[in-house]
Amino acid sequence: MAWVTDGLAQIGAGVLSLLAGLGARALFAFQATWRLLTPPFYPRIFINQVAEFFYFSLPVVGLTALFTGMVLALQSHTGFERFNAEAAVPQVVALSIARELGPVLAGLMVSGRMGAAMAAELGAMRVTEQIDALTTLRVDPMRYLVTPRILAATMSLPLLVLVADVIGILGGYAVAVGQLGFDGPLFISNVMRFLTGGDLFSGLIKAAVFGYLIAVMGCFHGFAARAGAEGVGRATTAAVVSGAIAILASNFLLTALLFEIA
Amino acid sequence: MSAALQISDLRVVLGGRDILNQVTFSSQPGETIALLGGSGTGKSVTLKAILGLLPATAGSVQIDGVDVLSGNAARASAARARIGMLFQGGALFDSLSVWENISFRLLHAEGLSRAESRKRALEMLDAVGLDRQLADRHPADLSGGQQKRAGLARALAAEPEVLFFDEPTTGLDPLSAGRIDTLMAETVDRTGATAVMITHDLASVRRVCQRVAFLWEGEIGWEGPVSALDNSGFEPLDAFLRGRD
Repeated sequence: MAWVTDGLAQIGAGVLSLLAGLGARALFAFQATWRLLTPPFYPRIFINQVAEFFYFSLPVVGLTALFTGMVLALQSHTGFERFNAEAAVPQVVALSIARELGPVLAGLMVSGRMGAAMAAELGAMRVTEQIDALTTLRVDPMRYLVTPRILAATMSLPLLVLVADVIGILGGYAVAVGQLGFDGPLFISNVMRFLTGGDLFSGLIKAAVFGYLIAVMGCFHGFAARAGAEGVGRATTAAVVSGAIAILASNFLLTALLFEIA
Repeated sequence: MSAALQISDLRVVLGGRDILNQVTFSSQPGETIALLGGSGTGKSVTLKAILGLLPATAGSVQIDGVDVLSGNAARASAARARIGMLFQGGALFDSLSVWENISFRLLHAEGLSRAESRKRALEMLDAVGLDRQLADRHPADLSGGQQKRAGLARALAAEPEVLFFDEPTTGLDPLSAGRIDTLMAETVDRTGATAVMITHDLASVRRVCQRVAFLWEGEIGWEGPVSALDNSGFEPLDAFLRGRD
């Protein structure tokens, strides 16, 4: 019987540890978000972070969207021609990119790029006592370092996804017209006819949530980094992994929620 | 202006382990006390608990009678504002220029304009013997000794009355260490500040400090003037000074 109780104890400890981890992240997110409501604000840091999130992430997200749109056109054509439904390729490309692939893939790419960068930067600041120094200089580290990053990420990712949507659809267009023999104006008119504001909006809502989660995970793990290069490395890995999981899990919840609303 | 520092029965428990048990010592205006002790005896923990960077389980830290750990929040915050800190590695902000580092508190917590803050930062560069041309460089462009000086300038920029120096000469060559020691001693003399220095550098202790508190098994095992250091009669301190058990 001992092995049963030991096993249950281990499962219980694992569940408690998971809940404690979730609670710590939720508390961290709440503390950082709450500070959005009261001054002082740090617009210079916010603007720098918007540049990092939006401008410098544009190439990697743009390329991801471009190739995803191209592959999507090829794959959907391959599948649909079995049912003589090739004409649906433009709609499928546009809807898939706008509602799902744009925000999710952009989120994952930005999580890899910016979530890691935030965790590494804040982790290095933690281990070199720069975060402690902020406190001794009478500046709240959470307000100075975390809140502007969360706001910048939440506002930048929807803009990034909007650009990614356009590039992704253009990628599908290029393959459809250049390789699959589609008529260009017809492709565009089908996209415009089927793609609604609601489709775009649901993708942008997702992107805002993903941006928020990426910043929370990046900053949380950076703040929690243990001493040494290994500690910063672990924090960076944890930020990327937990950011990706948070994006995928919240994507399901948001899709279900937005589906209900629609 | 100057302030007296009184640490009483400070206790810190981390991970269920008593790191500090009953740490008690004090320092008066114009005086620098060295907190000595072997590695892992809790010197840095003591400093972090005093600064509020680690939670103290019990005890008090008073600056001119105001408890900064558990007293009235507004009074405690005002008392904390009188503290300046030089970190072991300088802890300069990588993304900011040297002058922005030095005037960081003036810019972000005291509300000075950028022009006023820069002027003050340049004065502080003069005070610590750094060339004004370094003002627009970044910390990565400075040598270890220059980073320590810039860190000292940052600690002093808001004219603190209580100063903490964490291993200020660690990693420096003897010449640079001597310069930092002179700067610290001159600063305390000139401002009348109360200072606490954590260090392993006995030469630095003899140059800068008037008194020594030796941390042993979570408490202050011995306290006395620097002149009595070699005749303390406290075996762990003697072993520490000899460099062997």
